[in-house]
Amino acid sequence: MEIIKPGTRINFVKFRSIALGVSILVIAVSVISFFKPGPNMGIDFAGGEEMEVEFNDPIEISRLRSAIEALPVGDVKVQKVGEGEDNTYLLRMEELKTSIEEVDKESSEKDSAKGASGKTAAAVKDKLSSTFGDGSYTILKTDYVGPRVGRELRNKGVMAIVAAMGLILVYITLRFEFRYALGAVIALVHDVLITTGAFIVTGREFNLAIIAALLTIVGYSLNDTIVTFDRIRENVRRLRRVEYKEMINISINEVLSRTLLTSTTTFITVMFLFFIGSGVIKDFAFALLVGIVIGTYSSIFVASSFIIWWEGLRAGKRTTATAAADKQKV
Amino acid sequence: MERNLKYRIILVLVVLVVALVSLVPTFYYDYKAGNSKLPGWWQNSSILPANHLNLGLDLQGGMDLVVSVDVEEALIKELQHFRQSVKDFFKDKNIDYEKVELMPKEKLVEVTYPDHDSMVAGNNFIRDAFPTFRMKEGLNTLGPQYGLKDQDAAELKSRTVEQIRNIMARRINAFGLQEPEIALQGQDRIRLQLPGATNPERVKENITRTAKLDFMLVEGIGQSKQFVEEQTETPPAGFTLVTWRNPTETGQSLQCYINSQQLADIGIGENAVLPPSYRLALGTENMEGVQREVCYLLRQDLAVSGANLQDARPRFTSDQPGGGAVVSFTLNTKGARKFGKLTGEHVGERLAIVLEGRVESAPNIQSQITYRGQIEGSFSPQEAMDLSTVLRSGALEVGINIEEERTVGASLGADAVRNGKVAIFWGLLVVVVFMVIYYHGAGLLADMALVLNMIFIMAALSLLGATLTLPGIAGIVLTVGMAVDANVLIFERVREELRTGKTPQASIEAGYAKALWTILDANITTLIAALVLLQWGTGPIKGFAVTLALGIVSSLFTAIVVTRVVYDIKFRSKKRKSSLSIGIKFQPVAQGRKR
Repeated sequence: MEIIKPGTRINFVKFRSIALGVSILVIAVSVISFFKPGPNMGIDFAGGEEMEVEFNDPIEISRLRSAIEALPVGDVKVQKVGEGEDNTYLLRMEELKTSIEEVDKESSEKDSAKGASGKTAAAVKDKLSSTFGDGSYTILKTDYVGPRVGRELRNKGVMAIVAAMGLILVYITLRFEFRYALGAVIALVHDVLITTGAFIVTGREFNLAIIAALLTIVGYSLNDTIVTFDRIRENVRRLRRVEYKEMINISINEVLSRTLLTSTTTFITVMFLFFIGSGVIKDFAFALLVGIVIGTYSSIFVASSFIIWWEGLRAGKRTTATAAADKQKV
Repeated sequence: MERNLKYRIILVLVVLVVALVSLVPTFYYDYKAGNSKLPGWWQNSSILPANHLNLGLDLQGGMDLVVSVDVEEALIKELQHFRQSVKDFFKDKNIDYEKVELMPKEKLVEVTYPDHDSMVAGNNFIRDAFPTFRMKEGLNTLGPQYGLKDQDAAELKSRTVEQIRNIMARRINAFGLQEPEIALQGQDRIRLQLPGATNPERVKENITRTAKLDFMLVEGIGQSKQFVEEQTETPPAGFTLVTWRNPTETGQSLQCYINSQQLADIGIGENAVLPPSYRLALGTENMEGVQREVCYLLRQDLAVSGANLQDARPRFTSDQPGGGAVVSFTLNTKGARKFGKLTGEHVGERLAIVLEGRVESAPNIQSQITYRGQIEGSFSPQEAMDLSTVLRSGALEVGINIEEERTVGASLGADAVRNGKVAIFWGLLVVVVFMVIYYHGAGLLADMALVLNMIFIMAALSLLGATLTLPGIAGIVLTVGMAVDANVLIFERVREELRTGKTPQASIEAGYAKALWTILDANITTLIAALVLLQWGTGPIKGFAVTLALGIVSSLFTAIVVTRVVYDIKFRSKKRKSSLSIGIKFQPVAQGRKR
């Protein structure tokens, strides 16, 4: 079977201005979404307490919500988990506050951290028992992250993505050329920004797993980009007589079949993860799904467009359009 | 080429056999019961792998806790001690001073002298008496400031953390959990990974309370029943079995053989359950140069709590035979009264230092001790340091903060494993079918490589002793989708070569050769991302990075080496040289033969 027939010449390069416009627009939306509505930080980064509770019998969510809200635990979020049959709820709280801490904020950070974890969970348990009865529920999961750790994890997460990109820049520069490396990294930034934006717009929660997903997207999207670049590098030698833009277009078309094939198999498997998984894994799979689509798009349009643009700049400087192609390093 | 092929076939077979063998312990492991059902001859073998696939806490249920130790507080305590000692010693030695003040923010102690001479005398004295301190600010003034040397401050901090870790480990062991892990993380943190911990509140309460240290009289000595049974079948002559029921919920009860004569002296008969005024405790004792596990019978009702201990320090003196070290300690008023009574009435007997229910040391009482005492023995400097650390831990009030806590119930973890298996199964099925439809025979080969990949990843996880986490399962699912990529790259190349009219064999050779660096470049960059993640991530995320990295390496191996071997074997027979099933029609013009 062949989806992309040999000799296919879709003129991707022609659409690069439109693609540029679309990319800039989507990135703009993503960047705006950083500020409004702003990222929905999970407890990994914001700190706080999260509990997953399963009830034996169906309960009213409003009753659960008002029970938890009655506790001095700051902002409360109550959310149903899974299908209609499961009586499982996710409770998210800030830390249990006592009146003393309210007064003395400065010294409270340390004190509140000391016992907050145990106390918040215990307070919630007491409340659940008194509202719904002892033994009517099971705590499936408790997560607590202190404010200090939350801050650290956030910084480290961003650092990890930046470090990965830096190392990749170095590797591609060594194996290819600097402009290829720059093109690849610009495509990566593009992918990460848009995936993050999609995450914010759909109101999904940022946590450690999402940073992992973003890093995976970095690796994955790069896979596609490198395969395309590799072909461009090869064709620079092979197709000396062909105009630079055309050569790039041929290269993209030649690897198109592979690009689509791998993206499809990966997309399908991650889709199973998305439909079967729940909670963090569902969000993780969502990020990957968006990333796979954007990554495939960016390796076709963004990364190679950059190479063409850079080449145009160079050629413009020298004012000889053909000289550049001859001087390609290999 | 031919000879080379032989080695490659051997390589593939060896890797496959190692992988399959290393998966055996996982298949024979009962995850519910937490024990291995491997036959004995396998377990006793030293060559065969014994590691089963570890499931992360998020899959098997349990508790993951990160606590931080307030090391600054330990530093302040050290300075407070220094300040007090300086005052005491200056009075003793008639060195004039105006005041000695603690500066908690700067972590310094400022001594104000009335004149130059006393300043010089004071400086000299401090330099000699406190080798770990040095003058940090205020050189050549009448108000110099002293602080711990940087190296000593760092050591104090790390010792404090280590000490708290040890105490926690001891308490956690009392819970009888399977394979708890308690590790230092960074400079001031301790990470506790407790699979199967079901009551997080109780665990937290237990590890954050201060250490319990007691001084108790030794009434008898012997060996634990368990120890005797492991060593010899028969109980030792002249010893009697007694039982102690631990009144606390978490503690373990003990049965020991204690010297019959010593038991008779205090009126305890055979096979008796100890009255509440006595208890048993284990410890190690140096007997004729050998460290041996011994059981102590202790007088519980006369115990003096270590909370009354103000301080304990190692002292290195030349008075001791062999230049040994002693541990000196001071008690508060209440402690001094009780301690004085206990030691005064029992000179010549042994006093056990019991930390968290275990005897750390049991020196002889040589004379009555009230406010100050010292423990002599043939201590090495290290031993003296350790013992004083143990003693201080009774008064250990360094704050412990819970920084991070993740508890997962066992049922939720089991659900996650089930869902993960389902996702992997369907993902595999769809990709396998898809590859066969698209590449026909070659697709089948890629599918074989994919299945091998799964086996290799699992095998490598078991062999490395790595842990499979929920994100790790996600990593495997992702690998299912991405692992075929290397084969797709090769097959697409082969197709291109076939279209140019090359023979199947030549196309395969060219296809593999040309795709090689593309595959490597593309995968090394993904590997970079995975390694960054491995370096940065903790717990579950690390699990994801591990499976992702293993998936990349193993897919490189299967695509570049394994599938190639299959083609090389195929092309050895002349008949089949001109046929290749890769999902396209082609006409090999070079050889002029039709398929």
